[in-house]
Amino acid sequence: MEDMILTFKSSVEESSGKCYILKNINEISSIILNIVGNFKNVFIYNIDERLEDHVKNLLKNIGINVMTAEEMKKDPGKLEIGITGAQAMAAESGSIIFSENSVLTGLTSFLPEKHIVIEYSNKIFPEILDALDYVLKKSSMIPSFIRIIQGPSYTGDIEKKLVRPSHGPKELHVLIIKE
Amino acid sequence: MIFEEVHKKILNALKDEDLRNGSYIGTKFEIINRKEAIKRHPYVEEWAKETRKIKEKNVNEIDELILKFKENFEKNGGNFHYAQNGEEMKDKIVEIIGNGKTLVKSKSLVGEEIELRQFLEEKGIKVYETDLGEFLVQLTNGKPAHMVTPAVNMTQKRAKSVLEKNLNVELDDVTSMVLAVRKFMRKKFLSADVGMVGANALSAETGSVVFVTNEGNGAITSTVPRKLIVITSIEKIYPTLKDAIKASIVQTVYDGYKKTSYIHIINGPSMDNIGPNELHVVLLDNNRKNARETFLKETLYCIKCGSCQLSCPIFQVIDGAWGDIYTAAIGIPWTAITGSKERAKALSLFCLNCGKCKEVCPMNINIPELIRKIKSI
Repeated sequence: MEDMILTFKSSVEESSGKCYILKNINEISSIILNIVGNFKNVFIYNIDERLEDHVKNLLKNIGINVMTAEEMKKDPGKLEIGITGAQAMAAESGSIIFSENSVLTGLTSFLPEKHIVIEYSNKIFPEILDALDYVLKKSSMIPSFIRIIQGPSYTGDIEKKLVRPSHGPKELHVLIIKE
Repeated sequence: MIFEEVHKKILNALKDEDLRNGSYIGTKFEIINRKEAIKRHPYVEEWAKETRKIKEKNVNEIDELILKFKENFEKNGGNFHYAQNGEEMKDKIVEIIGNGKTLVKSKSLVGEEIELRQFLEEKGIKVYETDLGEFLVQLTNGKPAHMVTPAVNMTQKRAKSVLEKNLNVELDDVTSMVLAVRKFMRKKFLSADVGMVGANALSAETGSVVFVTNEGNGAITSTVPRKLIVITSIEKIYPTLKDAIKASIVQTVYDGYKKTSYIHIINGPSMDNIGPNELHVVLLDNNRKNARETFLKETLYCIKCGSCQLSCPIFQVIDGAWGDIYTAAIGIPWTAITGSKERAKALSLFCLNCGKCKEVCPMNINIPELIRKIKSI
């Protein structure tokens, strides 16, 4: 498991994401506050229920607007920081996978300046097909959308020069809490 | 007559120093990039072999695969459409989009094949190409030069002047150009009526659409507008979701990308009061089924990674000028199937028969042999 977490971290960082390995949930706060910086509008969606209140309160306490689902649906363009969990992750490719019948997790991951993923380490699988298998087996009906994220957005369309971000988030941060 | 036309186009391209520089810069690292990407994910070589085998089987079972995809996609709540040719496809798409609507579009080769954007604009639909390369192609009223990197032949200098003129901003380096396009396009994404994406692969067993993007334009296109249209062609259907995912990853790795930022698997419409609650797949034949009965059959194994184009010595100099919609190497047999045979023949006469395209093709397609046969059509 330890090796797999480290492989995952190096794969995420290979594609310019940032990965933090935490011993417990108390270590979340300093990292999150640092990432959020001066941004004001955050939406938290689809994260482990053991973490939800902890993260929400952390942000509310410093005066951040934690958007409601209604607010998010009405004005998604307002979103600056998106925080989600992952249903599964893959070490070899540094993939983050989630599935849903709505698009709320998608919007939370694709629209903001920064996307933060907070998840427990037991969701890391060796390879992408293993992780996908786990996601598919968990739902009785095939979900409308399955999304696999492998780094912040980039383009190589002008002279094949890699530039980040393109249309998606500028930064991807993945916080892994050891279980 | 057609030969003279093709010849002239190539001679003009040779005189265009800007295009030659663009081609050179764009193709310079292709071999190194691909080698490194394969080294990073060694299992992809095995996946490429598997994909070729599946493709060989698929072409003989295409009707069954289409039917199975349709059944499962409809079961998931999607709307399935089938088009024999480009005209039929365009009419269907206009009907789905509706008059006077705004469309945000991700890259699609099938869209280019049927010249969709021009048609939609004539019908009064406002179209925004959201992929940066394709946006540059749209702004210059041009044609995509490469299957994956459509503006591969455009220098930074040229891209800068095109964007400055059209977006009415002052720009500096590539980063500033990308940022300006991000800002411009974000507003379009959030207000568009309809989104459109192409597909890298479809899975019959699950009724799924698989597509990959790096820019995140496909991600937003498939989450914000209430209506989503997927346009693709029949040779992209695979029996299972795993096959479809593997083929999509093979495609990107062989194009020299270690990883794509996003892989999307879309199975059905949104069940929430946001996002695409109406989902359509429009599938194009355009002579592919007929091609199975001819020497061109092997072309249908192509996964459109564009490796053969980048490794072609002619493409490296004149780029997309060697061809029309599908350019260089495998683009010649694709032209013979989906476009004009005479045109394909005229293009084929310029092939050097060096065999580089065959060497790099992950599907091991004998491209030089296909082109040789086109020469004697």
